[in-house]
Amino acid sequence: MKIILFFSIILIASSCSQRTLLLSPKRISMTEQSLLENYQISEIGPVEDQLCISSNNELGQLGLIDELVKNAQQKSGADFIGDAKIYQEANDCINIAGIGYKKSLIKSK
Amino acid sequence: MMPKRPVYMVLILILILGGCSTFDYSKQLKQVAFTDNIKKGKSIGPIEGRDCVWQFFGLPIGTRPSMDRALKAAMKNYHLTGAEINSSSRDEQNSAKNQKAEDTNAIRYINNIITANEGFNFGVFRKQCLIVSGIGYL
Repeated sequence: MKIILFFSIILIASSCSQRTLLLSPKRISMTEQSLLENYQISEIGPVEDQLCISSNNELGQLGLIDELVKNAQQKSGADFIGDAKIYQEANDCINIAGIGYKKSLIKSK
Repeated sequence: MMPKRPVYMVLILILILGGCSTFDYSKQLKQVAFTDNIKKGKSIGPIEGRDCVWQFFGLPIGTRPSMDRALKAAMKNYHLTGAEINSSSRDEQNSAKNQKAEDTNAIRYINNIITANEGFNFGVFRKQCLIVSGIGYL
């Protein structure tokens, strides 16, 4: 019985205790599908955000990463997040770190 | 003799508590790009990939499914299909040329990404998959 209890505690404690890299794209956006001709992007600085949630019901029409990226873009004003790293933490939180990029119209000479 | 009931109770508790939470990661993510070039490209239509992990008593054997691996699987599926089409015309002399052509045909970004969780239980074993789909662009 003691052995079973010992392994039970180990299994429960370790089953979801990993920090997992979910996604690491070059560019990610919740607002833009691509960059149109005559537009360019410029760096606006680092972007970081975190989202913790206990159930899918809290998200509604958005997914967990959708909500995270949307919040990060809204807070930073970025149109794209570059070199993003999205991790899922052990406590059902996910976080994003990357570089914000804003699009702008290329000025014709 | 030790009563068996507590043993069953502990096993049931492990099965209940041992599983990892699964979420819908994406329902309407607009763009995920794999290169710096995010100019509007040519659509290749829907693509799909998956990443799976086996669990034993809720303990994942390997790391949890990730979108990165599922997206790589989707891209690999697309390029394998392309390689089959080109295989009849490929020989050793022009393999480098074909490799260059494949590189230029690489998927640059994916639009409208949707994820879904799939899996099944087999007693104390469980298979959990993350499926990613979207529209690929060259």
